[in-house]
Amino acid sequence: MNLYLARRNMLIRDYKTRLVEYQRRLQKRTFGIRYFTWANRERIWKIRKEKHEKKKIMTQKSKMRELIEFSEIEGPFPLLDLPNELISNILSLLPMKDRLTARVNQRLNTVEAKSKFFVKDLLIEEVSINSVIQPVKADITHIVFFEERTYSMECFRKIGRNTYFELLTIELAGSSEFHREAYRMIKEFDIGKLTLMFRTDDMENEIMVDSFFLDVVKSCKQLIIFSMENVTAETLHQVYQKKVTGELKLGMLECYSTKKETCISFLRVIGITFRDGKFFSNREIEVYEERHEENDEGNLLGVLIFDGVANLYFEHCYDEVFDLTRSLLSMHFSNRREWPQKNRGRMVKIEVNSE
Amino acid sequence: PNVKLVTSDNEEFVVDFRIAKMSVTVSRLMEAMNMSETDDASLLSNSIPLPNVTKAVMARVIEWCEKHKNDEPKEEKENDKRGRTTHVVSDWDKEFLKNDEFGRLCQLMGAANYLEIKGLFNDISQTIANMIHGKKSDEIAEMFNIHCDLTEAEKKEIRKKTAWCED
Repeated sequence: MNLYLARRNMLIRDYKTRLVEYQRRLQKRTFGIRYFTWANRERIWKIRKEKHEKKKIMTQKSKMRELIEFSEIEGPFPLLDLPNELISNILSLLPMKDRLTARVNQRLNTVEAKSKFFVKDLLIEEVSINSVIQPVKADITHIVFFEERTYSMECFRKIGRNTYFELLTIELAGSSEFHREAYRMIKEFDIGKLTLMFRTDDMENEIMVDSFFLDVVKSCKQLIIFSMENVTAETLHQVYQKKVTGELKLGMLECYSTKKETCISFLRVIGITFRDGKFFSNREIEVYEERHEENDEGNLLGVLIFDGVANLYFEHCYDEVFDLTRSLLSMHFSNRREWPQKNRGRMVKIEVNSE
Repeated sequence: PNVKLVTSDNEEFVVDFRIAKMSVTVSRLMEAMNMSETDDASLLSNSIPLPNVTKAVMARVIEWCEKHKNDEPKEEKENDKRGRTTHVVSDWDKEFLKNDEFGRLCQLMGAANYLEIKGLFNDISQTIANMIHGKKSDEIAEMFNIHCDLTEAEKKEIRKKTAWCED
């Protein structure tokens, strides 16, 4: 502090002497500019250049002095002496909770708000205050909301405001205004892979509707939904179409429970008909059946349709793919054929009839 | 081959070419000055000025580089570009940074940033982050001697936005 005061006084003194000199020269009218002629211009420029160089050396010297003095400082870590980008770098290495706790003054708060962070795996859960919180793996960031407490929307917005999530899983319980708003806010988040879960069917029915689905597919590269009973085939087609035109960054969509009718109507909209266990299409598509390894008549596990835009995979754990009312639907958007991730059986190419 | 580095207090350090190369800044300067590993004359006749690093700090930096000169270069993953996750500080590095005064650590971080030695920079950043980890806000303020200039309203706002942080 004394050093600062001394330097400040020095600066003021310096300024005052310069002011006096200026006034003196003003009276005498001996301004350099008056004597500037083309003949002596080089001499004047040389003098100016020398002055400038001298000044540069002086500032460098004072900087060095500062550094030497600085190294002798003992006591608390001078965190706030670091430039903002280095502070931001330190904050980015902290777990989310620690990073938010570290906002202990204006500057740290501003640096935190202006930086962009990365969270590898975040799980947002809502549980009852009386229930035992299930432990999660160490590399997962776990945010718990309690059903009995009320939270502001700002609270939820803050989580995703300046952060990119590689994996984000959300499971809230309840269908109050907060919950609806919270799910709606997800579309503002920047996410790699998003997993959406709903605690109750009522919540799902209320929230997972066409408009919400269309919003949420825009926010992430991969989307996993446990159930989407209310999403129509037309909406699925819109997503497919947006992918064809390149409007969407979504690369993968997986839904664990899609209605059989939705799957079939979606196929029909994109020019593929499924009737009596057979596929008909005038498009160039490849269809594979996934069967148990054991024998030729092995039970059917799933069907993979590749149409040049996406790998559409339908699966459930029973005998016939479309025989039950629900199916896993997975869409991997890719211009080459990809086998389903968990290869459970043998893929057999089957014939496609023209319509 | 050796390279001459000159610090702000005019101290000359002669280091191995490989060590000099560990700093992106130095290797860029060497390139600009047409200094190459095979050309001994160019290395002998030139020295690299480093006006932002002092003798004491440079000695520490070189000590770190000596230890890490044989490290495999780390591949930059897709995630690293988007952001960072926790960096693991090796035991040797922990020991190396343990005895540094806080003020010196701060300078060392500035030097690592200026010289662009990523490993050292990450080590120090993580060491400071580890100091903060698990602490409450008043403990952090006390540790770093930070004067809290937030108004009551701002504090309330911060608490409200991170209500889930409280146990």
